[in-house]
Amino acid sequence: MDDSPLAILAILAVSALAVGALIVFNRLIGGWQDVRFEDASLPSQRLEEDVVGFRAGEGVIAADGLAALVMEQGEARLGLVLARSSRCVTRVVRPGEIARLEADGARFHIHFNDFTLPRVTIDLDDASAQGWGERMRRFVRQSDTQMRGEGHARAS
Amino acid sequence: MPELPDPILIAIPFFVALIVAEMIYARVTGKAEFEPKDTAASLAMGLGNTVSGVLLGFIALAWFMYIERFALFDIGWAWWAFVVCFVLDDFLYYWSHRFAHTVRWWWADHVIHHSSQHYNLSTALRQPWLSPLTFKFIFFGSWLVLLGFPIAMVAFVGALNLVYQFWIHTEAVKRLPAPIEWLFNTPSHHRVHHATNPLYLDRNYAGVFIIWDRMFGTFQEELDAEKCRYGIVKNLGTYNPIRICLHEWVGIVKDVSSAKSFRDALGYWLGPPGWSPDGSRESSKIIKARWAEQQAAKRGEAAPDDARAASPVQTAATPAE
Repeated sequence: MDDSPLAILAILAVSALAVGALIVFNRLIGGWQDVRFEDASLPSQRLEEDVVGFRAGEGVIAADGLAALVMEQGEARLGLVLARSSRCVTRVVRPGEIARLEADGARFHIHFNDFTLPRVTIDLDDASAQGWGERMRRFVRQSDTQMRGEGHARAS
Repeated sequence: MPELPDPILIAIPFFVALIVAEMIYARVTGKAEFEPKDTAASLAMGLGNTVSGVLLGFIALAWFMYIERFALFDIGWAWWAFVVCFVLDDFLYYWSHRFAHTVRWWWADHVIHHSSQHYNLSTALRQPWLSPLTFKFIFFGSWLVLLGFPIAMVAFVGALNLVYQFWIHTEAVKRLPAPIEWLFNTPSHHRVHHATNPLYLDRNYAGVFIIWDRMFGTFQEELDAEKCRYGIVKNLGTYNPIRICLHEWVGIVKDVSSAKSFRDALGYWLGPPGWSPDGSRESSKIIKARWAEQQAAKRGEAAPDDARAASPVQTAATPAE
């Protein structure tokens, strides 16, 4: 086998072209179906499958049907389910595990300390926004600065 | 020394043709599925793996050339040596793969291959980029060279092993005749390996011969009643190849840098994936134990002893990171 740098580059270039062609072919041929949530039943089912012991309670879906929030029965944990093309990505958080929460009317930006899912934006309808906003705030981490400040205050 | 071909290079056109064939089969029958973003991520990881092999492959090669002088025997190039080398290499692959699932340092590399929620031939090519930097080859790759098998022969049979493993990443083949399913790793057995159902976690580590799993107690048959759900326990929220490549390394760095003691740091680095000092995260062992308890409760039985022992914190949650 010719293992000169030029030959290796040629092999890599052809491989890259083949990869591109396969992706285009996959897109053209179709065959997958994007997930859209109609109600909270599918997100609830996914959470119960993905997280052993999670018992889904009340849920709400985003206006675009691409995300859902589901409280655990007893409200100890909050489940988040995101539609990603034809699959779902789930996260379950305890109080303090949302890094930051920003609210802009009924739109929420949820920040996680998660390298592959650092931020999620979810649009709720106006009727749900206030109640679910308050629920989500229970799961937001107190900032280190605030915690350190409280510590100093107690120490002094 | 005979001139050995590179099996992977020869196989690449067949890989491409088989992926196209499976895409068409998936479209026509609905019995498999490809999704372009996932396919793109898998193939990008495969391409990156090839590039990294070119750039970093010399590390392992240099090691093997160094230790070759300490070989016990000079086994040479007899035909039977290829056969013995292939079987022994597969045995070592089993253990290497098992440790890749149970030591986080090595899991950080191997998790990339498991990070797709799809299971098709493109998933076979979703491979890590930084493997040589984990130095796993020192622990599992050295034995055959030290026994006296030529380095080129070890590389050749290792490549054959990888080529074999390509075709088993499919849902298009349900089950093969019983003797084949008994002896070989098949699509059915390997679907179990890629599934996150608690029953299937950490099972079927085999490369070519499934008998290693049968011998060492890690075999699990695919059950019709338990449909495989693919991916990892905490599925990725990204298709970005760089993030896919680095996510578990970033997790290790974060955990080790925030560890409260040297022992904790060591646990985060070399412990099983999901290990935490207080047991509040979910390792496979804990998930399986909790699931076993749940199943026992459903049947109105007491939980198995090993399940109670492995499930230290009943209310433990999956951490956000």
